[in-house]
Amino acid sequence: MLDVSDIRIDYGGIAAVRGVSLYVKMGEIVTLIGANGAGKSSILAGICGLEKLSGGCVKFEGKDITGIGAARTAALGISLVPEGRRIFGKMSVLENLEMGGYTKSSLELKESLKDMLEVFPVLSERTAQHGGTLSGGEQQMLAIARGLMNRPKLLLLDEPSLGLSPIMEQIVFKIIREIRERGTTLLLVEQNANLALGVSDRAYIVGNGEITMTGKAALLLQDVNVRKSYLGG
Amino acid sequence: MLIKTSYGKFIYAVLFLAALALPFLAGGYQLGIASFVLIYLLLSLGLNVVIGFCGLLALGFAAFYGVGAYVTALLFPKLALPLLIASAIAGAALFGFFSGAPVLRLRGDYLAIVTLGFGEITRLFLKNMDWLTNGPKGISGIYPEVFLGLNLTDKKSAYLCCLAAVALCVFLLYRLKDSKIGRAWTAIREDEIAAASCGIDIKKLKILAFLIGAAMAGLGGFFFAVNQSFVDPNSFGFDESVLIVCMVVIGGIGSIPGVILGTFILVLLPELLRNFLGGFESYRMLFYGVLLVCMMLFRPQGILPDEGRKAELRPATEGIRDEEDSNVFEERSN
Repeated sequence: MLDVSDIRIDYGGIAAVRGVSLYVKMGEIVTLIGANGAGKSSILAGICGLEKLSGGCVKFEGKDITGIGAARTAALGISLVPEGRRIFGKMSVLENLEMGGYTKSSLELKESLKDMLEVFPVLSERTAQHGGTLSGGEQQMLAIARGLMNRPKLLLLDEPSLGLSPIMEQIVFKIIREIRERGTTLLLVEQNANLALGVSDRAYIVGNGEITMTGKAALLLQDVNVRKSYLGG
Repeated sequence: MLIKTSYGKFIYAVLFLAALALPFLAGGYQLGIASFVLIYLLLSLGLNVVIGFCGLLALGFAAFYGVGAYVTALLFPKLALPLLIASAIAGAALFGFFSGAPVLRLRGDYLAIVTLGFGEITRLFLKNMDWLTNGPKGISGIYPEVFLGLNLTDKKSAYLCCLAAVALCVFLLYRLKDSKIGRAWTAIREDEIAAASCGIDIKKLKILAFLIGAAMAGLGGFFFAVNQSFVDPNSFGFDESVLIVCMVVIGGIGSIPGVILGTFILVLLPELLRNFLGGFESYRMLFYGVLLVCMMLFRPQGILPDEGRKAELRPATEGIRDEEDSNVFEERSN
């Protein structure tokens, strides 16, 4: 479904991503794990067109989408839920969701909206509230729901558990499983490797802008080196 | 939004009727000032699209105003009235497009500085391109031809025409603000990255805001040129850009009724004070400066603030702060 080959991203001469190749098959949950500054978020930003690639190519459903920009990538069915949630704090919950469906017709928008309020009952109680007044966990729900409003085939989730309490983390990962069951493919970036590998089919380990290891998530969970570096021994 | 309440509609209706009756009741001096209120409304409401709706701080707005006025001054003998108006608007909008496209990737202060530079460059061009603009001497005798009985050299007709333009613009701006485009602008203003990942074409929408703002300024320029029957480069300098920004900020950034009020205040106040203090003109800039500082200190959201903006300046509620604090604590203890 998604085929990334040898992408490179530079920030003013400093290479953040140096030739990363990866793929995601339909229906999978794939996770990128790695240390801070390894380039995980940059890879996601490069895939969805928020960052300019300085090399390589991104293919989605067989089509070359390299360099077509974030707006057109979103219209093709790739949504990014950005790191740190980035809720529109002064818009209501409902308006936030409507922005998520920006590329859709008003009819499709209404349907997605109904769906999302069903999947996220917390949000349906607070549709008129400003996004900024929600708690951290609710904001993360809203960010994910906003990403799903676009009815993406592929959802890119950047650090969904960032800054959440352990209970909230569990809930978010439960939702991630639900999203897959509803037929959306997921590419995840996560610091909490234990939880992330638990829900994933496959994973890539990113170090210093490169893929250092890849394999089935269940196997990586057992790997001695991985355990030592990312899972706390 | 004020216009959604019947109270707001009532105020707009009263204002419009008063403005409509004014040329038949008041003398030439009052009509002159009222004309300027209308011209500045086109400018401030146009700039409000750029600064207020889309959140782009542009400081060289008088350049678009100048382009509109000079297009009028240069083309009035050749074009019929509707075409003349259309070319003033189109000229300014095109100028907005070409000056906006390369600089809109800049943000905040940087955009402000570059647009300020563009504004000054435009003024200097107008001043130095003698062969086209007649240099610092300006162009006089701008009397557009009568079109279907409409004679804009008559001050009353020009005023009523400008009033119609302003009323139309206010109506369209309310529609625009509530449209999909308006909401996309709000999203861009709040968070560009989030907006981009929602599939909003940021570059296109920013240019659109610039274009619409510039087009309104071009229309203002047309009415200015016709009203004065004379244009010169000094009418479109930095002072003018600052004055327009002041109107937007004092009234309430992003708020249509606020900007209208701010424009009234800043056009009428100097005129009122002129009668009391003869030499007020020389202290004008000082007065604007003090006014802006006071507004920022005591009422940063403006006199009649926009709902969304009001929220942006309100501190987060205590409950959320508590939760954020506990999150920080959790991360530390991990």
